Amino acid sequence: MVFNTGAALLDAIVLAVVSKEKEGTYGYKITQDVRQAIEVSESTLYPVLRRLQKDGCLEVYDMECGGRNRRYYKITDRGSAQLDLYQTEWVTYSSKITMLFSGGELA
Amino acid sequence: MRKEEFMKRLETLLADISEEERREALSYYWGYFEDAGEENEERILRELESPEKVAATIKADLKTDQGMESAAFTERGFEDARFGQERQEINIKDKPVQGQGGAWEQAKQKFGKGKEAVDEDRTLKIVLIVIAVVLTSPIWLSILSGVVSVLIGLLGAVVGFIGVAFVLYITGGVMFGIGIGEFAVGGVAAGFALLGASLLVWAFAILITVLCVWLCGKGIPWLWRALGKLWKQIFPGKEQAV
Repeated sequence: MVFNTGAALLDAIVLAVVSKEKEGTYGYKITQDVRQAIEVSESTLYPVLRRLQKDGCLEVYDMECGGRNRRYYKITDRGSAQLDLYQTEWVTYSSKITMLFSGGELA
Repeated sequence: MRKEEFMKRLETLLADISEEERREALSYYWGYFEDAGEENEERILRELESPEKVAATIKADLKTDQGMESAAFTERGFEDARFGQERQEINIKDKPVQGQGGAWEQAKQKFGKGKEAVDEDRTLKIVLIVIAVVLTSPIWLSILSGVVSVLIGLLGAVVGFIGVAFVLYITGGVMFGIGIGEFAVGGVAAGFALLGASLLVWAFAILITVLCVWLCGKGIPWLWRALGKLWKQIFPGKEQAV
């Protein structure tokens, strides 16, 4: 990939992936889902998830699964608000660039 | 390396962070291996590279929380703008977020730092250029003086040519006059010879005149332009001081 994914965009992508699962989702699955969009290494997401959790954008809970506890991540109200903001900004940002690339005039 | 070994090493490496952070990280990676399943264990171990790298990533983020804002997590893992290449950040800041600093503040500060680093870069560049200019002064000073002497030499040549041409015109004129005189006194052969010689001298004079005109009109301006071009190539982006 030629383009770098900055911290804000990575946060946005992770929040979007987690928000798709109403009951929450877990680290391994989040990584696989994020990888459908961008290339991330296996070690990239733990710090991101941990930070989002500390910022109150994600909440965690443990649930038993196959004889052990699995940690689930779920988006909070604050996380949803943050995601909305990211998405609005993204639409503005990406549409301006798309417009520029296609040779159109900026509004 | 098996995952047990990996986790053991990771635990040792994380000995200097808080109990809570260590437990969190270890349980995340344990769960990660479990969820991935035996069949993916080798691939994940390979992609994680080493417990050292994973530990560094975890610790780096903890430090970020304490105010080291120049670091960023990217799809390539943890990167620190101060040590690596400048990263292009997406600048979508500017709007206050309802009550949550987090990533916004971090990214904003990071953006600021990036600019500072660029400024530092520029200063360093200028200092390096000055040093290089001083160090190479024996070379470029001699080149410069060579160029100046060539220009002065050319100017001298032009003046010299003009002088020679002037003398030849006069000489030709005098010979022509004497030739006419020879005809008057009956020396037809000598008259023709002198007239022919005077025409030859004039031809030379005209040739030299043409050369002078070409030098002044084309040659010197061309040389000047070539020098200007060279100057621009050596010092791009600066206006030629003419």
